[in-house]
Amino acid sequence: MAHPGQRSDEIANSTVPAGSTDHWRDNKRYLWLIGLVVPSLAFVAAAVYIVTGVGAILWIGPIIILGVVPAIDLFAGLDKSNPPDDAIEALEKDKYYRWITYLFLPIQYLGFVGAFAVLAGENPAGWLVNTLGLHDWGTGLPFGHRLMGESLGLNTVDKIGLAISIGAIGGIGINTAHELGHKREVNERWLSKIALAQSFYGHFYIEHNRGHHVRVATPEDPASSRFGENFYQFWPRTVGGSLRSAWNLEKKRYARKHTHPFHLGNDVLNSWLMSTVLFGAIIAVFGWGVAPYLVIQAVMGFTLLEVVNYMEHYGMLRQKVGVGDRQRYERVDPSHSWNSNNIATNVLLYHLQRHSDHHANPTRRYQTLRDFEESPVLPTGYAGMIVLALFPPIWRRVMDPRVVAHFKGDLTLANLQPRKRAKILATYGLTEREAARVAKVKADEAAAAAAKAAAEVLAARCPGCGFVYEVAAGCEHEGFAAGTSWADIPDDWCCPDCGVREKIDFVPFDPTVKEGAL
Amino acid sequence: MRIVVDRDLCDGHGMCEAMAHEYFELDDDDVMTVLDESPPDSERATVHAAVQACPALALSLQD
Repeated sequence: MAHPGQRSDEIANSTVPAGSTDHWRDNKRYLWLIGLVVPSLAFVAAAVYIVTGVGAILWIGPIIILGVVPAIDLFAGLDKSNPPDDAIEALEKDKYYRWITYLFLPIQYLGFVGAFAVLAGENPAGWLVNTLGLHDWGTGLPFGHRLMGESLGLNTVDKIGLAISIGAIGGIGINTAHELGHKREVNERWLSKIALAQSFYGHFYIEHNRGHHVRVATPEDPASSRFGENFYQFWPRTVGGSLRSAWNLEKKRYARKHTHPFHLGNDVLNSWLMSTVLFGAIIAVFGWGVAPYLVIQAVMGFTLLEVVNYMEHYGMLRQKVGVGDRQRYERVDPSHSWNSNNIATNVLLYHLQRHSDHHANPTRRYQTLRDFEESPVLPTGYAGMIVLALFPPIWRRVMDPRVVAHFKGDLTLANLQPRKRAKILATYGLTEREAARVAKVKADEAAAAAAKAAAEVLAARCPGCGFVYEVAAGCEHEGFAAGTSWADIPDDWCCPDCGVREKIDFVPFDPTVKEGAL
Repeated sequence: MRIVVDRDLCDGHGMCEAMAHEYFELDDDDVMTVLDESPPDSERATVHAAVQACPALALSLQD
């Protein structure tokens, strides 16, 4: 839509904070390597378990995400630095940054396969030591009985912990997939789908780019949470809605080519096929016993993604612009996404928390994403917010006042849970304002309908013989009473005078304007 | 500079029109038309923003 007075190359309502780009050099260049700590956690957990025998360490995924990172975020503070405009192109082209994201995948999958070997009762660590010819060294170590044992001897609780940790790594792998899936390069888009295979969430690649990015911060988007909706209500809506959305998008793409959606080129099908092959191979090698853990880790993985989805647009709403049939949502600007500058989570998640810039520039690489002053800001990093989201009363206490403040008290402008809309507005004393808003919408619609009626065809002339049909007069002879609108004349109606030209050929004109004046 | 559309990918989301309505237009059936395939270089920033905004990655710029 046209937004008069707004330059299209700028992001609407955006301001990069003054001074944030002064004397710039990329201080985070090497910090991004920390992101690779995440997939490496599987190996850290295995090593600590073998040395100490403490099974609790296998719960390393939730321990780090729900405990350690939120704590670091509270102390490590904020990073608001932005790359200056003239550095962005070089920064985008620097291949170093993308290799970090590529490297995530082999570590992720090595840990995944290793973990399933452990879950199946194998001992991949002992096997590795033997393969390296270090058997005697291994047996001589103080923890040699565990390192070189037949199996690592996990009990069921340990195993569930390990599956959940592997799932958590897969969930953060979805973030890597997200970074890769937005890129134009074909190899990166394939890597994206590979990263998603572990959590059986390949359809995210479709739904996120072509569904979520289009409908973000609207009631129609399954992946934008609503004010008053808790995470446990959001989860089924987004999981089911994303699946339907992805399938419909691909179905529509094939429908345009006049064919059915069951092709291998269907990105929903080929990404699921990848997961099926992966899961099938794991079961073929390690037996049916690991199947429940495959399910646990996949659910954990995509749940972690969805809890992050939950906080990214909570309560945010794009307003509608235009009237009648041409009505659309305003374009996406920084005020539609929650941001966070907490450096610890930002480094672990490739700047995912600079979400406003991401939605304004979806193909922009993580290292160049900027902070905008007017974006709504979360009280802490995503990791800490996940903990809050798991406890809805605390989430509401922390977040609801922030949403209210963002809309300057006018929650009629927020994305409200429809079922609770009236109650929420009554609680905040906005019932009258809502009534005024509804009245205005109705008045606008009526005005649009009136304008449309005014633009209606009042008369039309046969281009062959000059016969005129006038709405006011109708055409008794043809069975059209006076006042029968042009739209109500059947499409196959033929000119009664010449019998040659049909309704579609008729030329509309305004009977109140004299011919000479035209 | 030339705007190239991959018709296989275009879903008719209209993000390009929102960013640069001078160059992209959607009709009532959400079929997108490029109004000017070869915009002047002075318009590069505007067109680039529209190309970047495409969620289906259907747009690209050729020099």
